[in-house]
Amino acid sequence: MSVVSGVAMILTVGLSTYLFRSGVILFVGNRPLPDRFVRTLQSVAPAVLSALIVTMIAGGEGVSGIELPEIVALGVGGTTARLSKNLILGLAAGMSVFWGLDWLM
Amino acid sequence: MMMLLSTQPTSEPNPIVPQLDVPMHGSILKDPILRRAVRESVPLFIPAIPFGFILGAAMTRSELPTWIAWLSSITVFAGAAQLAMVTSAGVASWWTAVATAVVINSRHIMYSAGLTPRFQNQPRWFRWVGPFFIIDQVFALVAARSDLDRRQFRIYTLTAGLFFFSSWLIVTTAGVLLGSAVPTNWKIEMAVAVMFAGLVAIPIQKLSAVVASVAGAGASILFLDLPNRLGLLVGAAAGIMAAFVTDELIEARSPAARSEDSQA
Repeated sequence: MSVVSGVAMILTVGLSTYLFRSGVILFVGNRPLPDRFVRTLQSVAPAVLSALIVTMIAGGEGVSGIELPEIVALGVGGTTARLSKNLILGLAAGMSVFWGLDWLM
Repeated sequence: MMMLLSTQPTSEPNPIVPQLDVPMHGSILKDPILRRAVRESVPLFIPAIPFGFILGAAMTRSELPTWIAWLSSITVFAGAAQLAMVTSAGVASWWTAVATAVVINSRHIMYSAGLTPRFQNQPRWFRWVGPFFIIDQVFALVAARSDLDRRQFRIYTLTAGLFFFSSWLIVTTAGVLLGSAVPTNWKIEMAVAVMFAGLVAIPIQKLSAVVASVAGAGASILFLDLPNRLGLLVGAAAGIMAAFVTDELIEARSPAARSEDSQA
């Protein structure tokens, strides 16, 4: 990726992020946001991150790029993080399982 | 920066330099609100350390030039979006990588809306500068501190924000410097995916969030073969729409909605 494309990328995302953080404070004020809009925003993170996880583990190879150790590691990592409310613990559990299964297979 | 740290007594307020209304004696570093902000920020930053380190390591493996990827810690300052951008750049199309990161950060609109009343009576400079620092953890900290007056709110927000910002730079820099030493057969990229799984799983409270996650993953599997990894955006859109429909159905079946129907 060229330097110009890369710089344009981090500036575009950076400016958008700043506008998200400041937009209501600077331009909307105390007027309430529509309930449906706020509710929809709450679904954005799980939808995007889940789609991103699939795309990442497939690695450009389609469905065949998704392997069993990855699926199990994601399940164990996500469940552990959920139950313990601890991201680090989830990471440790998920990666331990992943490395273990990867070594076995 | 020196003006923020030095609080020599002055007879006239400087109309250009932002005023923090700090006490006219001693250093602002002794301000109890500042110390409280740091004290309360530290526990929230500790879980972000491995995240920042993995992000730094991912920057060294990204198609983005490493120094540009590192600069995103300054311009974007949002871990999940940075990670999404760094891992998608050069692999997906430019627009897909940007749109993914932008959509992830759209949740910050809720933070902006939630803190608007606290910003309304603040000086103009703070209304422009303060929101830059409103990341997940800073929002959680300042939203819960209803006991702070206007001046204290400014000091608390800026202190917590600067603490997270500088700490984030240090940790991601460490990741960049040390991450390339991690052997490739450790497949540290998988740590990013596991981290995302945790980020999805921990905050889920509603059925619609589960639906968003399952539909997002399912649709992106179906559309994995689309060029430029467009399946990612299709999956995200499908997840958001499925959650929207779920929320609408739940609301339509709620007792309040049924009561309105029967009155009509």
